[in-house]
Amino acid sequence: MPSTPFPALRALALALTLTLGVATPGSAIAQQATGNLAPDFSLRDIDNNPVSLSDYKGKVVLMNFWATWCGPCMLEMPHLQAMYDALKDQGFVVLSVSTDDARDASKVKPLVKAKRLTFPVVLDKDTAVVSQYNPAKTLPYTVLIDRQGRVAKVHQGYNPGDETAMRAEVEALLAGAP
Amino acid sequence: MSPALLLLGLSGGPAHAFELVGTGPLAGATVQVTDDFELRYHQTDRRLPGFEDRRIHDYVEQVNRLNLLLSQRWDSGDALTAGVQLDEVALFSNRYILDGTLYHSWDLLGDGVASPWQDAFVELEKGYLTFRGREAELTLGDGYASFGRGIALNIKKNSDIDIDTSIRGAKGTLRLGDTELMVVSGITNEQQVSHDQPNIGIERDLSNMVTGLRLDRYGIGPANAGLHGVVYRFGRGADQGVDPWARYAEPLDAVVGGANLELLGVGGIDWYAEGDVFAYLNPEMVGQVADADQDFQPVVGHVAYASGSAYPGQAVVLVEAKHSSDSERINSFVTAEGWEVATVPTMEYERVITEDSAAAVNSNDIWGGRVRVDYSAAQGLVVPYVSVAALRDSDVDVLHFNRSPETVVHPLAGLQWTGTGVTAQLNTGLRLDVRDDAAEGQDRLVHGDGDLSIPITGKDHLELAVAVKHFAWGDNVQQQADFMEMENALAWHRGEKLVFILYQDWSDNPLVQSEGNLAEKLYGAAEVSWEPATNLTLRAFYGAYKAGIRCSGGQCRSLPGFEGARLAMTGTF
Repeated sequence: MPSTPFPALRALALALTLTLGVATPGSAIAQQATGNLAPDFSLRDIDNNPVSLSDYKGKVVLMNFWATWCGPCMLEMPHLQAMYDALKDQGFVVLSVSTDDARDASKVKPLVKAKRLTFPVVLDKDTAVVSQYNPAKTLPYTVLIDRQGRVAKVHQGYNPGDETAMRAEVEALLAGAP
Repeated sequence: MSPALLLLGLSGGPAHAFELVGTGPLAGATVQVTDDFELRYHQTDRRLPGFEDRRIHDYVEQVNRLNLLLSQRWDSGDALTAGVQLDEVALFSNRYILDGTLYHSWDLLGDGVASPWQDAFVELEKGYLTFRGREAELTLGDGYASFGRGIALNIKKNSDIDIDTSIRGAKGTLRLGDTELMVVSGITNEQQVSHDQPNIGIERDLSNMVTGLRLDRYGIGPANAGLHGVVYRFGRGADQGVDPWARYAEPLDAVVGGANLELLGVGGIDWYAEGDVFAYLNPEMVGQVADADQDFQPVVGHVAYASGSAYPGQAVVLVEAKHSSDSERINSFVTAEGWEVATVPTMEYERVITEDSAAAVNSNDIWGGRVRVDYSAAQGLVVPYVSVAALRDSDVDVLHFNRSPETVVHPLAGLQWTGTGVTAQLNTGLRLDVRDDAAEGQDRLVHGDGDLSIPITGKDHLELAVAVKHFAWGDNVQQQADFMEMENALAWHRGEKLVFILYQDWSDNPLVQSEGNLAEKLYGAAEVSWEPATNLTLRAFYGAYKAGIRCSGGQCRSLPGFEGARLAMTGTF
């Protein structure tokens, strides 16, 4: 049997063909967009209140995926809190999504209290939301969503100093049209 | 846009998505493409007799993971999300043709998996369609679900150890005020192509039927209460090749039912309690041979779990307790495949688990608890903590190395410090497994890990990560030599986009199935990571790292070591 020289390209071409063929009925065609529409979701926060992404319609949302066992996540959190404190009155919110699985759910609220975090923290116990936003599930993972509900920037991981660039991006989005 | 132009976009353009325009219901929807591409050159010391001077068994592996996400929102507030994950793997080099047939030294596919191309395999791993209304949500295709604390059902994506088993079927959620009802039913769909581990001899997984229901009522004063139930039918070896949906017509293997109660702020404490009962209806679930001529009395197991957290002053106190009996039998059929359908909170520091303590994670007769106290100083920027777990493990079944019950004590201490430009983390502990039979002695594990990041010039900084553990055995059934393991890394972050990393592992654990590249027990590697755009990361790695047991999310796997080179590209477009 002959070998296949470029299986990756073959797979990619197949996937793109399927996507464009199936997802463009009628006269619809695809064009370059400013950002993906951030998929809406409903989760419970650490006090069991329901929270949906659409609750923050019209705001700039920094959605941060993390876990209690994730070291870089712990180091990034105080910077997110500082950004939230400084910019929350300008229409900015940090939506923190814990990806700890169900058996670790009891650890999340104590950690939030120890870190003195005041932004909303929701629990994605079955990984349904993180699987959509970040299929590789690397942590921390930050998605910056503009006032129109579109994904403006994505940051993988955290290195000291990242918070400076992130804050500049948030301020640029806040300065944009409401 | 034509596929050709789209490919140009994939080469590094600024776009994050493509928008569908036109008049249909999908007009205005966006499609996002995320692609992970990796090329790995595997070096191996395996030699062919007569060709000892050549690395004839070295091979190149290429893996691609493509994710497509379609997202649509309508003015009514309803929303649609659809996703596809397409994996592809191929082995290169080391091929030869004998009598017109292509052979590999390493077979990519097992006997039960067919591919149009012998040296490549393409798999539609996941696909789902989710419709969200104001009060209801329905997912068709692949989804994940967990109930309570994951004791009855906990099927989720666990990329940390390369586990991605979903439930392929339907999942519906109805939210009426403070009442929430979820129903999920389907067959399990295990990840076929591994992204982090070698893909050799891929075998088609045996699907299992899972059907569950969860009912939660929130806001009963300070209380939230829930009920849940799950039924399972697992696939057997004889089911290989049989339509997996046939599981629905077969007798059930297990039924699990449970209830949970949460009280928030009662007496200044957040309380959680859950109880689950397991009924095993098939003798194979409890290690017996099925015999139609003999009556089988279902075996019953149970789990009780409770936690309480309080926040006096600047302290945070978390207390957890559990008791479980015959609950791990629910994983009897799937553990061999390297994943679990449900997990009881382990109360272990999973980063340091060894071959012996992994059995305690999966114990069928254990009780104990853990207390952790954090102190929040400097507005949460400095958080030292102490913790101690004490567990009584009476399971001496085949997984366990000890012959008599044991008491496990594991004190831990640590610190998280976020300073101006400087960050530090430290965890250190001692784990003792004290056997009832004094002749067995005790297993002792001392461990420490730390991470220090300091600024140097401009936007550059150095990061040092160190992890070390030393394990000393008592007198066990499977006696091994004492061992030490280290995993260290030094990273130079050159600005925000470029990172140079040196890795160094050490292991003289006789159970580790790998050999160092620098010396028999010493492993070294270097990696460069470059982020030319926020949506694109390129990585190059050369060297080796050790094999070992790794646990995450209550699940443990023995991961193979690696020696060779890797090139990787991750992009979101």
